Amino acid sequence: MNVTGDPRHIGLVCFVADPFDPPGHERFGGGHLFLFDLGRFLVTQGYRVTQVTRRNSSEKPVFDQIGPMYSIVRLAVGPPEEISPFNVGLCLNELSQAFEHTIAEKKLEFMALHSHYWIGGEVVRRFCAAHQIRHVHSILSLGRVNREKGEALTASSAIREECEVNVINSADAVIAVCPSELADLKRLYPEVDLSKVHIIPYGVDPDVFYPRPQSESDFVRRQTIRFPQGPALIS
Amino acid sequence: MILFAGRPSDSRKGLPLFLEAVAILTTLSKLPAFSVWIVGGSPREVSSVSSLIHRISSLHDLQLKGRIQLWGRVENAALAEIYSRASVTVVPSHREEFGIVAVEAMMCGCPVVSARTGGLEDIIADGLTGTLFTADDALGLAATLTAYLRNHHQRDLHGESARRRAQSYFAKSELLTHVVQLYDADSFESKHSPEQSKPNREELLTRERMSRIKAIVGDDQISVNHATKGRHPVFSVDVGENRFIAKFFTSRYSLQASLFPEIDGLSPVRGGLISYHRELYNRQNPLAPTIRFLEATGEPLIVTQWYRPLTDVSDEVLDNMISKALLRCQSHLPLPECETLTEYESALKDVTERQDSSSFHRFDLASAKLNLRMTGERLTQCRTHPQVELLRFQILMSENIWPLPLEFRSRTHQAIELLLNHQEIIMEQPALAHGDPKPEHLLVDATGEMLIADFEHSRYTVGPCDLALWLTFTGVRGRLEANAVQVCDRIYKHCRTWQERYLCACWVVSEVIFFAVHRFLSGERRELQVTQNFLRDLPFALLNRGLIV
Repeated sequence: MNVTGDPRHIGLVCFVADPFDPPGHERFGGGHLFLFDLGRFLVTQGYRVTQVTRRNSSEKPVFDQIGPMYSIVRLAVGPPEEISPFNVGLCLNELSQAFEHTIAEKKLEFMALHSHYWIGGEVVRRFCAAHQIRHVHSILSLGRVNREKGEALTASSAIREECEVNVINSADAVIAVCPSELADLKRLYPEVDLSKVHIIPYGVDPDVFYPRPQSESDFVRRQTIRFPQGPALIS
Repeated sequence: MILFAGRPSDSRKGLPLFLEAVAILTTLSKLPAFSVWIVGGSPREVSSVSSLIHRISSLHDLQLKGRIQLWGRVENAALAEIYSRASVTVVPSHREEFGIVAVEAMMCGCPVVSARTGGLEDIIADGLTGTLFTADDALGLAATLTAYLRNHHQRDLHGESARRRAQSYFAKSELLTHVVQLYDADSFESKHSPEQSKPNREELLTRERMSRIKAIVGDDQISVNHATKGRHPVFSVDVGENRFIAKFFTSRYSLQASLFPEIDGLSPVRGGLISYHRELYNRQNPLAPTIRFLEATGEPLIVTQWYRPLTDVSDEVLDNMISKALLRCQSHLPLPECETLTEYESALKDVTERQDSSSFHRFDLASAKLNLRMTGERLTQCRTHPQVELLRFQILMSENIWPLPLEFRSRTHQAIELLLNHQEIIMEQPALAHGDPKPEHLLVDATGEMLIADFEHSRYTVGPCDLALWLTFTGVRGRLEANAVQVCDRIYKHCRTWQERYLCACWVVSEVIFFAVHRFLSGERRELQVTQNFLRDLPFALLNRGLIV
């Protein structure tokens, strides 16, 4: 597929993770961190970035221009609160329509759209089928793997698996985060084209995460100043 | 400190399993004091974790003593400091697509114990940067943690390897650059194939090792290839028509030190200079390959002549060859009558009579001194006497120092009791043993004589230790259907006297128990079952073959 549109504008699409939700509690984890890091990295590389997510809080704006190169669009689909990925999946068609509408309304043009998780993947797949935009997809998790691990069948299981197959087969490039994920894909999705799958793990910043020196006095200082809440005191 | 970092309310993250493992640790004896930090979670989540802890009395007690702390969510910079303080980070996830916590911990030089699931299997180099255990197995998780708590060198070595691995494969900006390449249709196809990006095993033939081999062999026009199946830095070196084997001796942690309570005065490290000196000590051993070059500085290096591996020999002929060869080894460099030997004999009597921890301590030190000349004057824990080893296992299991399944404990107890009740401790002078005879170590020289590579485990032992090691390696390890009768037949055939047969049987039992416990503490349960099956049949086989009356 040829690249058209704004040659330095990337759309990051994920409806189950708002990159500005801090990870490390409730259901905010590594996926959120990755989206945040990727957006920031792209800006440092001179790209314009639009993050598209679902509005999961009534306190968050629908559109936020964070800086000259970075904006976030929160589609007002479903309740304005954090809901499970399963429930987000039930809003697939509404998300797809809202996405089309927002892109048209804001006259956004992209060099590439990078979707995350099957819901974002399917929305972008439908969009790209009608527009000449490069589609990169990150898997994040696979429905058949979850079922193999004992997760119960849900109303959206069949839709999810069908979407996963369609997304992986139609995307221009697919990212698996580790060889195990690629192996799962090979084993459980014989109908998908693996030639476009690339293994790119999540990364960690070695300038933040490195062996820190230890000293007892530092620990006391950190406990009282840097972590003002301290460890939870349980009686 | 044992660290759990993650979202407590996410059922996939396995916090209840972690707490169950911690509760198991509190039931064990002779474990160094430890604390537990749980990082992550909203105030609501922290409160529910706290309720969970309250419901388990052993954990509640631990918390009252300040040894369990709940931190809630912390910022990245603080998280890095916490990882740096941790002895080990636990990722007990039932399911995990990737496992960023493992990478963060590794970046900070902290080894990771994680469930064998999803991306964690790719992130962690099992046994090198951490340990993988069977998902959902609390006993297995507790077992792996005991090894890190008992042996700080295991923590240090795994932590350093973890940091190197994380920096090599998971540096963020490099990986994000790969992602960005995918946005450009023209640039990515040839730049980043799945195979290129797959984290693979550590690079063994580093530039430094290559240049040292070239310098020591003295020829730039050489071909160097990795020579073993494992991750040991052993290379075949071709120089014109000559071929050598170059082996670097890396520092490793002692398996004994990870299994047994710490013994003051004994090094918890093996490998490195200790192994190097063992090879040198055996330089004149008729079974040892000829050493051509050696270098003790930095990572010690020994280059030996290359020999043909011994292949295409029937099991029976191989048994005959190896038992004769090992006898030759036993008669090489006998221990001189000296004060060290007298001290050893006195310590052996003492351990027989008192069977308490101080007598074992004294015996271990006396045994280590027997080997001082071959370890470069370093005191290392050496299993010397098979009956003492059985006694040690019997006592430590009764003291519950490992979280072993009940059936394993009862089988081992039965086998040990049968052997020990049958015979007083045998006072026999230790003789030289190779310490690790296995098929891939067997070589043949130009005259057809058998040689054995790798004397880095050699030590002085009582009875036919090497034969027993050979029999367990070729007849028990990894075999769920190990045939105890066949093993006893082989003992009967290749030992000359009743005493030799008895000691060989003791070594076999001691070795299979040691190996099974070691594998369990390394995250693998299967060997427990192998040993259980073997020990179930062994008493009948010993009685039927007259090895005990």
